Amino acid sequence: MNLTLWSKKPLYHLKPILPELVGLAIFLILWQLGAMQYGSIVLPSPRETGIAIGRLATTGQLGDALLTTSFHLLAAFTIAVLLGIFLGIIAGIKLWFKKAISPIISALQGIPPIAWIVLALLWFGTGNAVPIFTITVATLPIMFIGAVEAIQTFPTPLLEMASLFRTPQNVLLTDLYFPHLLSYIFPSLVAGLGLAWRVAVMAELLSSETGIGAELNLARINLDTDEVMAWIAIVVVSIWIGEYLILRPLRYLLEPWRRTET
Amino acid sequence: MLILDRIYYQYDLYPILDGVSLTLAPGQILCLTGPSGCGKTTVMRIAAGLIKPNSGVVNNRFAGTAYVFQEPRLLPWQTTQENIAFGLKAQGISPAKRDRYSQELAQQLGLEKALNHYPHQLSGGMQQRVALGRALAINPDLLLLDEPFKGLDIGRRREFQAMLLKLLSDRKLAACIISHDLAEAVRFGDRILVMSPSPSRIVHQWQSPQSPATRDEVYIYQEVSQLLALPQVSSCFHLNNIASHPNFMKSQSN
Repeated sequence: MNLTLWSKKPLYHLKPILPELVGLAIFLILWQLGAMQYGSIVLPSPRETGIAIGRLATTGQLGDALLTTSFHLLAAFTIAVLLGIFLGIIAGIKLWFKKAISPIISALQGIPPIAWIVLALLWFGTGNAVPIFTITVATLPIMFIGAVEAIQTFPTPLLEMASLFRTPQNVLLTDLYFPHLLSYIFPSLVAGLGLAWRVAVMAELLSSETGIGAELNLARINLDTDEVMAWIAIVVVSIWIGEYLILRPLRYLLEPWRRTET
Repeated sequence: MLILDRIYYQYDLYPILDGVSLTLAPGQILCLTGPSGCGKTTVMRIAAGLIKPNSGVVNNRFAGTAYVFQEPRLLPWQTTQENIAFGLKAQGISPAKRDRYSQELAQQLGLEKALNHYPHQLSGGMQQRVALGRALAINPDLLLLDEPFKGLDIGRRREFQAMLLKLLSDRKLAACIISHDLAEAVRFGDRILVMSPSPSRIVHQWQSPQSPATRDEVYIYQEVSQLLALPQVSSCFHLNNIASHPNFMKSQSN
């Protein structure tokens, strides 16, 4: 960021994210109008929600819940990503394996996460295992399908070019397969992370006593609408942080060739 | 020396090549020409060992063969420098040497300002030069070029042609160049093979006593018109059909 430009033209460095800011502003205005129309019991205003978030932050509830939910997400998503990509690569290479595993993946995709939660409750009781298990099975198909796509769309002309240079396997892996896989996996990661959040909150709400979902449930029982909205806002902001401050910068770092892309 | 002897190739029961033979001596430039779809690329792919003919002998005694495809086929996630050095990396050459060599080549190809650019930032002509650089980097003694000037305007084309001729003669490379443009073939080739389509055969051979560097425009157009006067050459480009077409006559009389 160029600091001299900042002084000459205020808001200059906000220009690239101007559309996002406009979208956000419109959303906040609609929310405010809705709150004014229906009253704070039904729909707390953005300000009231902000105050509730501040309260949760000072009592330490916010930190604890975020930590627990992040742990569930990280553990489950890591398993789903590694397992999904591993199975997806094999399925992409071996057609019979893809055919064999496809019905299972379709089933995983088709079963509603809530059904998994019911099963997990019966299997694991309460605690961390239920959200972790549910998030894993819910996001695994996305990662699997992304990896299969990546392998199957691998540009054969590039492979042919590499074969003429008698490229050894390790260079094929680092210079051809891995960069291509990465560029395909990223959209799946973003989609998977969004789904993971939704499932995490739901699983915690039904099964655990800690985490954002559990706190949301508590706020519901207490009929504390401000706090319900606060937790929802926290989830939304967390998803934004995950996408804009973690995944996108990660992509920027790992895929320098996309930086200059329009 | 590259020898293809009575190559027969069919695809899905359709004969593609019907007994194509050619030889290419070290340092020589051979142009394969003919209409679109006449099997020029297939001949080159067979010469490179990318496909196996159904019968016939392929004997490539060149120490190193490099192929420049019709499309640049650059790795989108690598810079100009990395793309040029790709073949060297495949050979396990050290990064320092790779860098030095690819920078040197980029200089010769007029790409020194684009060393750190990715393929999508380059024009089509520049991408093609990067692909040429990648082929030259492995120090081949035979270069196979499939329509290397495709999609370039006349100015860029001449520029690239002159650059390629100089590189070929400086390095004493043998080259087989595919072109559907007869004038381009006459400009470049020590020898020209004219191919006819379905199934492909070589219908005419042309050889010039003059070296490509000394040929002028007058010579080139004279040779092209003499070649086109030959019935076997004009018919494979479907030129005799056009001359007898009723609309053609109409436009002549207007």
